[in-house]
Amino acid sequence: MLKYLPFQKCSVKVESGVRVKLPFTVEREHSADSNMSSPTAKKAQAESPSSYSSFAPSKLLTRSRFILAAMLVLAVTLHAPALRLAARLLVVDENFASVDAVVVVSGDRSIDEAVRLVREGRARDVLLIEPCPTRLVRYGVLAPQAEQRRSQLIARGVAESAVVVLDGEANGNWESVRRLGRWLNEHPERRVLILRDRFHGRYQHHIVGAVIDEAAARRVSYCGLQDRRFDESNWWQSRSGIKEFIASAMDLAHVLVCGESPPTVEWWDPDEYERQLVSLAQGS
Amino acid sequence: MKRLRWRFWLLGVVATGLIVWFLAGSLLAFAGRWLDVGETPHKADYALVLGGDENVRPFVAAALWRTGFVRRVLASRVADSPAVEDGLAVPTHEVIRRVLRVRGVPETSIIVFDTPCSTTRDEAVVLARYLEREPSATVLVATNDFHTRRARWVVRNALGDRASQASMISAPTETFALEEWWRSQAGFRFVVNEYLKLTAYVVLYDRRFAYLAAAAVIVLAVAFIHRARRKLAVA
Repeated sequence: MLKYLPFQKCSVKVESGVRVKLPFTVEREHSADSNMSSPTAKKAQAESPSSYSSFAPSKLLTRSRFILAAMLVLAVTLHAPALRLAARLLVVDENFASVDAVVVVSGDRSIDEAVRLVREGRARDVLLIEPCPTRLVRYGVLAPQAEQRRSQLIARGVAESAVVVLDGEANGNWESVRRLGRWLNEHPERRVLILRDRFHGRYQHHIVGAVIDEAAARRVSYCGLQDRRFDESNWWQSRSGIKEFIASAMDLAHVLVCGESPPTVEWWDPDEYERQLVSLAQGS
Repeated sequence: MKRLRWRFWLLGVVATGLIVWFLAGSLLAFAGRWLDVGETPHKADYALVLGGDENVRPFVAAALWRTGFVRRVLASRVADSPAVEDGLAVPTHEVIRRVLRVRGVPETSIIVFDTPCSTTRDEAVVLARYLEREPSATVLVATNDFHTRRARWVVRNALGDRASQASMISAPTETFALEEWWRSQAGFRFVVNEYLKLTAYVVLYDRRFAYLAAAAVIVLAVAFIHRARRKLAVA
C-alpha cells in the first residue's frame, strides 16, 4: 500500500533490488511479520502526526548535518575577519594634524609616543593626571604615578615647562576625565589628544562623551596605542591579546549598561589584619 | 497541538525569566562567594605570594610572617611586562620584596623564585618543584579572594599527592565587594574573567575533562553508527 505525500521526494527499493527515485514519499506497508501487525498498533501509527513518513527525520538529520558542516566551514574560514571586526569595534583612533596637549592615560609606549609628538611639534604640552595614591605609594614602595611619568618625560628630552600635572587626585577613570573636562573649560581654545591603549578607545570615548560637555568633547581626539605584542589583526593568537581584548570588552559592556561605578576606597588595614591574626593565634 | 506546545514553551520562558529576575541578586552573589575558598590561617612553613594585586597580597603574607604563622615568605617571579622591559615600571617580584621589607620581613626570610611565570599554573608548577626539596613542608598561598578557587585547583593539580600541604588564604579585594561584584566595573571584569579562566583551565589542564570528552566522542560515534545501521536495515 502506498501513501502519497506531495512535495517530498525519496527513493525506494523495489523488489528487483533496483533503487528508483519517486516524486513522493512512500510509507512502508507493514507486513504480517512486522512488529506493527496488530490493528491497535496500526491505528496508533495512522493517528500519529509523525507517521507521515519514516524518511522525514533522516532528511532533517541530513539538513542539520549540512548546516552544521557549513557553520564549521564558515567558522574556520571567517574566524579571522570576525575577530578582527570585534576588536575594531573597541578601537577609536582618530587622525589629527596637531594638538595643544597630549594626555597620557595608558598603553604600551605611551611615554615614547608623547615624546615623539612633542619633538615633531605636533603637540606642545603633555598633561598628566595624578590618580589617588595606592597603598604602595603611601608605604613608599612606589613613587606616585604622575611623578614617575614626569621624570620619564623629562629624561627623554621633554622640557620641564611642557609637562603639566593637573591639580588634585583622581579616583578612577571617570574622575580623571572630569579633571580633564575642568581643564578644557579653563582653556577654551585648547585641543587635546588622549593616548590610551588601543582596545580601551571606545570605552574612553564613551566616558568622555558622558562626562564632558559636548563643546569641550569636540576638542578631544583619541590615539589608540598599539601594543607591541598584538593588534586587532592577531590579538587572539597571544595570551596577552586575549586577556586585553576580554578585559576591554567587559569594561565597555559594563560602562554601556551600568554607567559609572562607585569610586574605589581602600578600606583594608594591614595592621588591623595583623591584630586579628594575633588574636586568632592566641585563641588557637 | 502545535499552538499548545508553543504556549507551553512561552509560559516556561516567561516563568524562568521571572524566577531569574527575582533571584538574580542572590544568584550573582552566590557566584561571587563560590569563588572564595579561603581558609583560616594556621601554622605553616611558608607563605607564597602569587603575582598580582601587590596592594594587598604581599601585605597579607607579611602579616602571616609577623604573627608567626609562617617561617619564610616565597614570592613568584612574574614575567616582565613591556613597561618593565622598557625600564618604566618596577618588576612585580621587586614590588613584593619591597613591601615585605617595608613591613619588617628580613631579607633572609624572603625567597624569590628564579623561574619567570606568566600564569597561576606556572606559579603552581614552580612551587611544586620547590617543595620537592622539602616534601613535608606546608604552604599558605596568599591571593585575592576571588582567585582562591582557581589557585587551589591549580596548586592541588601541581602538587598531586601532596595537595593537602597547601592552603589558600583569602586576601581582600578592595576594588569591589565579592557579594556585589556586578555593580562595579572592576568586579564585573575580574569575576567574569575568573569564570572564563576557570573554564579554560579545566578544559586545557584537567585530565578528567579530557577523559570525559573522549568518552562523549566515543558514545556519540557508537550512537551514530548504530543509527546508521538501523536505517540501512530499514531501507
